[in-house]
Amino acid sequence: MNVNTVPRTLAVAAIVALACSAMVSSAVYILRPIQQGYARLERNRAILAVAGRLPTGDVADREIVARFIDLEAHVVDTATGNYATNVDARSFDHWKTEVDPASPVHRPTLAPVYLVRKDKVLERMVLPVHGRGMWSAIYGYVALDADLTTVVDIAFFRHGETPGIGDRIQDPAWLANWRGKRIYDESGEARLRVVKGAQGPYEVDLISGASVTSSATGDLVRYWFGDDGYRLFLDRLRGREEL
Amino acid sequence: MEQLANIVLRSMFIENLALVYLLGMCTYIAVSKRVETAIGLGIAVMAVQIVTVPLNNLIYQLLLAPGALSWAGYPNMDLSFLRFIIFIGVIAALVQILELALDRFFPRLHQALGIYLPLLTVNCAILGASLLMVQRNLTFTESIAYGFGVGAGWALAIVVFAAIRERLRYSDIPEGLQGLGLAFIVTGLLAFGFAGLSGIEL
Amino acid sequence: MGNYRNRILKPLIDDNPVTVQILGLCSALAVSNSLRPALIMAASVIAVLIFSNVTVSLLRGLMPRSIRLILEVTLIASAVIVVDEVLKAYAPGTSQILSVFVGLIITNCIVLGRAESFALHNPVTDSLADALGNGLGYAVILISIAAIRELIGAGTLLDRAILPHAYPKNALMLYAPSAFFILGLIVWGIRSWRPRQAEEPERSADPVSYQEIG
Repeated sequence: MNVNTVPRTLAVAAIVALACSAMVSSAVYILRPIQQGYARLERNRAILAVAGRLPTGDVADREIVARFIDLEAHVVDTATGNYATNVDARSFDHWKTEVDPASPVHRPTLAPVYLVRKDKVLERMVLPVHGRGMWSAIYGYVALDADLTTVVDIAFFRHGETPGIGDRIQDPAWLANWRGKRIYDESGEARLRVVKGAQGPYEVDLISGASVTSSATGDLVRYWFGDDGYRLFLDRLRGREEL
Repeated sequence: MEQLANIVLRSMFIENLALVYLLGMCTYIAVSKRVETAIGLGIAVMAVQIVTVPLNNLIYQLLLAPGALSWAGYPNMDLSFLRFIIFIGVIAALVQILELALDRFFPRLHQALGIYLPLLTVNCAILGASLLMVQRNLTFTESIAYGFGVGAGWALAIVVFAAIRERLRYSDIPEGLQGLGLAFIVTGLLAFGFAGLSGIEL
Repeated sequence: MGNYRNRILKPLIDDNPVTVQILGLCSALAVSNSLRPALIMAASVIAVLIFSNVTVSLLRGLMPRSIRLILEVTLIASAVIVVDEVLKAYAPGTSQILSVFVGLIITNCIVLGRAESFALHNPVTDSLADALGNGLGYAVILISIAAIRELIGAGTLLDRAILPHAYPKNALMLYAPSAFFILGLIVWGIRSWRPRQAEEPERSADPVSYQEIG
């Protein structure tokens, strides 16, 4: 059979294209839920870690899910500074709709926050942050003390920065520098930044050799705790006696 | 502007595709025996990169990225898994066009490159550049700078290597090390030099 | 049966795709700084090679000349997409370390090279054996380099400490150039063992190049 004629060529092309599409699409369709499950797990692990609720050593996935469900979760509307009541906080993924984190048009105004209480008193609050790094979007969580201005813990769990250089923002030794730093100064402005030769409670030392990536983390934290982010919400919360 | 210059310099030196990411090695080792052919191949790679990287960027942003199809009414569609096959299709088409253009306007270069021109389609450096561009979420203008940078960097690497190899012909080399073995070690030394740039953030 | 055994064993040393045919270099060098990603990469390449050789061999009577290459690339790319999705689902940590290199299996010269030069002209069982042989040959080199680099660079194998804690880690091994050095030395070793593989020295007095230098 001569396959070099035009109709036979088109037929072979069509059949191979269909067969390959079927194979690839089924694989993706079957595997996508498993992949998304892993992404959620990774995110929840980061939240639990900064919330202080992640036990050391190997933790089973089921344990992570259980502890995550135990956290008190709300969705904050950054425009009004209040909780949004019509959204399920635990399943809400505010990053899913994000196309370009640097673009003002797509900036989400709703974000999930997580509260850690001890005997009904607020101990810690975990808030998500994200922004543009050197090469990619950086996603992280900041845990604030009960005064809603001191950083208790911070983690950057997803990014596409240069391996070996930019990914040092995940180095626990550097992240420990953030502990005890204050985000807001006396006038209520978000002042925390990442600079060289950091001094005082409003500055974190930048990573030499990874200056762009590490200072970007300071920029994105300051953005999310500033006027376009959680500032309104946190000011409101601080004013109330019962949190 | 500064950001674009930054990207060009980074992708040419600090993140050189041939000597830091080790992409495009097969052609790199095989076509580097004479400086003249190395220059020709380097220019061909540059030409393909500078067109395919921005083109693939457009396609990715308009069709394949998660949420890209919202203009068509499908905001929840994530077709990014198709990028492998779409990118390689674009590259194959472009290399074909380049081959026809070279045959018409630069026949000597076309003959010198021989089989290695169509092999550019499956050159890891060219597909790799598009994939890295996606991983880094570059905008359209940034991807033009990136395409230029990676192409120039790869061309630079292969020309330098060819120059060294031409000199090596005058050396007395142990039999087992002749040719391929020494080529690897020399490339290793070149890569070593580029690795020294790795801590720099501009 | 002996023919199949030969086909599987020959590419391990005598006709190794990396050291003799000079194919599949990119990932052999870039993904080899620790053993676990190297093992997963080797398994992925073998899987794609088998799929590619078998399907190309099955379709060899039906491939029109004009679209032959793009058909092969389509088949290979589809297999790679499936492998990538499987890795992202079941080995997500390693998948992130391998990043773009799984996708680059499409351009891995071994896969397309064996499809074009063997599977296109041979029956399915032979092509399967050829795929297995070349895949294993590639795996042998990749795993050797990775084992050496991880052991000397970090003192571990598969993240388990092998060398004593006091061992000063050789950080050079974690960088790209070390892969070249090790591969060069491996090639030297193989060619000293099997002198048949050694190359002829190039002509040293070439009047043309003399002019170019002068």
